[in-house]
Order: sequence, then C-alpha cells, then structure tokens
Amino acid sequence: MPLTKNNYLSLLTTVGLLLLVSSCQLGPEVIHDLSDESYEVLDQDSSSVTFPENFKDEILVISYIYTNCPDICPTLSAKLGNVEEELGNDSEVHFVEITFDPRRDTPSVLKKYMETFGHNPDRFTMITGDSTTVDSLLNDLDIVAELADGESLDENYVINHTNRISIMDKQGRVRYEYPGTAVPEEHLIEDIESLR
Amino acid sequence: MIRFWTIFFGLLIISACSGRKSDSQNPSDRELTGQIELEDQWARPGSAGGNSAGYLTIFNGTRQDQVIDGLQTDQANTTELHESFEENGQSGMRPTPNMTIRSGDSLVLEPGSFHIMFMDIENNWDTGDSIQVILTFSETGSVQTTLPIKNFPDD
Repeated sequence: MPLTKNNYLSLLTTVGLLLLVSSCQLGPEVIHDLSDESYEVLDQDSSSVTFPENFKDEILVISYIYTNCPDICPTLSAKLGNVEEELGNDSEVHFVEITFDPRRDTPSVLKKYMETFGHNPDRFTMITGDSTTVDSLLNDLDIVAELADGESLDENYVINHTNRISIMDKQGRVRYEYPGTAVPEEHLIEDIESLR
Repeated sequence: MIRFWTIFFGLLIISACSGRKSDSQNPSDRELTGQIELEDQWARPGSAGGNSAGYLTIFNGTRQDQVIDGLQTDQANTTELHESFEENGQSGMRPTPNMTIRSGDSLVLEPGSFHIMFMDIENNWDTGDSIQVILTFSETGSVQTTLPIKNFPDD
C-alpha cells in the first residue's frame, strides 16, 4: 500500500507519542541496582541495618564521608543538612551518610559527627560496620577510597576518595549521581521530586 | 591582512606574558594599608585526636610580596596550609607550603579549596569555642588571630 501524506503524518505522530510516553515512563536510567542486594551494617546507635532493604519505600540521598576529613566531607554533610531542611518534614525522603573509614568511624563517632551538624535522627542515618561489608557496599556503588600518598594506617591518616552524592529510588536503585561539592542544592531537590 | 594577524598574535603573546606570577588569588583594588589584614575567620568542629580545617581571607596590604612561612596553634599537633583538589574523580588534600601573596592580593581560604589543616587536635572543638592561630609571614613576621568554631561561615 502506498504511503499517502496523511498516513505518513499519522505514523509520525504515533511514533512521536510512543517515544514521549516511553521516555516519561523510563525516567533517569538506573546507574547502580542494589534492589536485590543486602548489606548488614550498623547505624550511629549501633543498631543493625540491612541496606538498602530497611529504607524501602523511601528516596535516599546518600553521601560518602569520613569524619576525619576536614574539608570536603563536612561540605557534603552540610549540603545534605540544608536539603533536608529545605524539604521540611518529608517522610518520603531519607538521608544516609556512609563512611569509608569504618576503622575509625565507629557508631559513637558517627553519632557525634551527626549531632555536630544538627542532623535530624529521624531523617538521617549514618552507616558503618565491618570493613569487608562496608567496602563491598562502597565498591558496588563505585565509590573509591584509598590512603593518600605516604599515609599509613598507623598515623592520623587522610584518605583520597570519590566526591559524590547519589540519589537512590524507592526500589534501591541509584538513579542520580553528582560531584558532591559542586552540585547545587536546588538541583538535588528537583531530582528528588522526579522520583516521587 | 597579514599585518592585522601579526599585530593580533603579538598582542596576545604580550598579554599572556605580562601576567604576574603569584600563588594568591583575587587581586583587588583595595588600598595598601601597610598591614596584613585577616578576615572571615572560622574553623570547623572536631574531635580530640582528629582533624579539622580553618578558613579566612588574608589580604596583603603591605608593599612587599609575602610568603606564608608558618602556621601554628597550641590546639593541634600539626598545622599546615593545605589545598583540596580533585583529580580523576578523586578528591584529596595536599600541603601547599610557602604560598606567596603578592602585594595588594588576597588569598581566600574556603571550603573545597585552600584551608588551614589542623591534624591531631588536642581537645574537642565544639561550636561556640574558638582557637588561636599564629600566621608567620616572610616580611612582616607573625600575626595572631582567633578562629571561632562554627558549622557554617555565616553562623
């Protein structure tokens, strides 16, 4: 059957609409899928946490820190605090800070760090645990942390690390990643909204 | 036409070569006061034995270029000028000793950039506390300043 001008226009419109609908349904692509993973870690109160299962049905805003980091990590923690404040008492969004220095960042150390930033314990969870599990979790999230040149674990060491904030959807899938110190807070809020 | 491009590239080269070489940032039009001026001081909270960072702006209001020869506080075992950097997606810090601030320039120490690195601090530094820091400059000697402990610069 020859393709008439009208048929051609109808076909084009249909394809266009299908593309539009499909792009709306897809949203941002899945960067890391932890929906079938289960990491047994500890929070700031030394309570067991199964990550990400315990946060199912919540959008997670995640930063990666160590408390002996004097400059970059506090900037990330402050940024998460500001976003939490901006969102108000939003039970759909939870904030998680995962340490890549579980050796020093015990639950009590993380609790004090969290209090320093005035983080709301209902909205924030600090994650530590045994090194193997934490390393595995970080590795699956593509977070790299290594001792800075010339540093050893015997000293008051500093760590070179990925500078990142991630947003995980309610199914445990990372959908957004940003350079942590650079991303504007408004941008984070906009992307959180897109996952509701 | 050839003459135009010759002049254009000539000016470009002259302009590129005439830039002053300095570690410091933010050359300003501020009047020289004959003094080193310190502003916007603050430091982050920290736990005993851990690390913290201090921030401030240093304006070199003297007529000489000044090298930061040293930083000292009795509240930490090691105090150094550091710079945060990002390379290949990794963030880290490195010492930046002997920074020069040209006459009339300011060096801004701020989060994610240059900062005073305090290592192995003596006691807990909590918001509301303050610490004393001595900065030593090559031409004019030492200046003591107070850094209030805050979570955010505007607190």
